[in-house]
Amino acid sequence: MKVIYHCYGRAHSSVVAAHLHLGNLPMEGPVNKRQVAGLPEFDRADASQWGIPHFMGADERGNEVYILGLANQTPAALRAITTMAWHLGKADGIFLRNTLPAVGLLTKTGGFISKGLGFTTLGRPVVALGIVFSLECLRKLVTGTKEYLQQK
Amino acid sequence: MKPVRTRILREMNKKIIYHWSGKGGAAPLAAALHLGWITLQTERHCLKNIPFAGGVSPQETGILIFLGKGEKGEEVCLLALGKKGELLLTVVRETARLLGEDPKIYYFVDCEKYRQGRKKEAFLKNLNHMVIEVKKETAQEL
Repeated sequence: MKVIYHCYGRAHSSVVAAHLHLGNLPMEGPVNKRQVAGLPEFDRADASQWGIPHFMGADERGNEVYILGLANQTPAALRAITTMAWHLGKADGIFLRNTLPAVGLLTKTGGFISKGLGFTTLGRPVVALGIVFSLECLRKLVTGTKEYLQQK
Repeated sequence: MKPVRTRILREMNKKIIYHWSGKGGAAPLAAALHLGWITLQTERHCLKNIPFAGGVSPQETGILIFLGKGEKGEEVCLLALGKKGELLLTVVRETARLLGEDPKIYYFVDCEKYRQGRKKEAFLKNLNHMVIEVKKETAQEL
């Protein structure tokens, strides 16, 4: 199964969700913003990488984990991916999970400052702090994804 | 006893995707011309019966619509992209790659430039010319 965590720019929430899924960030206990900002893909992707799934690794059950940025085209892009998979007879081999609902305004604002306005030094700590505040929601999202994958 | 020789005919597995913004019928008519459903002589009122000839709703953008197979086995599809379609084309290409398909078999044809400000006859003629070119190009790449 290919698990795709998608968000707006595949730079923040999807990166953290993928690292939680792969066990690179703990599913319990505190995580500080330095740990979040130190993730290799965190706050790195730009617009040229939108629409291209980025492979993050395989989990303990062999599921391949990807991250994907869909900008403001999320509904249409999801329709494109699902109909494409359906046409190829591989609709059961792909699982899409939107990570944006799990993060709050602080993450979105920090992401906009860093990626939208280009003020990385200012935006990155803000978005990392936002992620720390939203970590429980992201953990719940990842737990839900893993439970779904176990049932499959 | 002589072994029976079987000749395997390789089916053309190209997938031709006619894409447009979703407004008007440029891509659906091009696909219909490709599939031989209509010709330049087809009466105008019949063109309205072509699927999606009136365009699609915003909720239908991104849906890959399979219309049929061409004379060489190539699959003919429609894709409405909406206003900013470049990202959707990337998504389709990359999804194909992700699912183990060769992206080279996907042939994207932009029909949007044929949409506006043309008389129906000239419009169809131009579309038909484009479809002939597409057929030639895809046949050469076999």
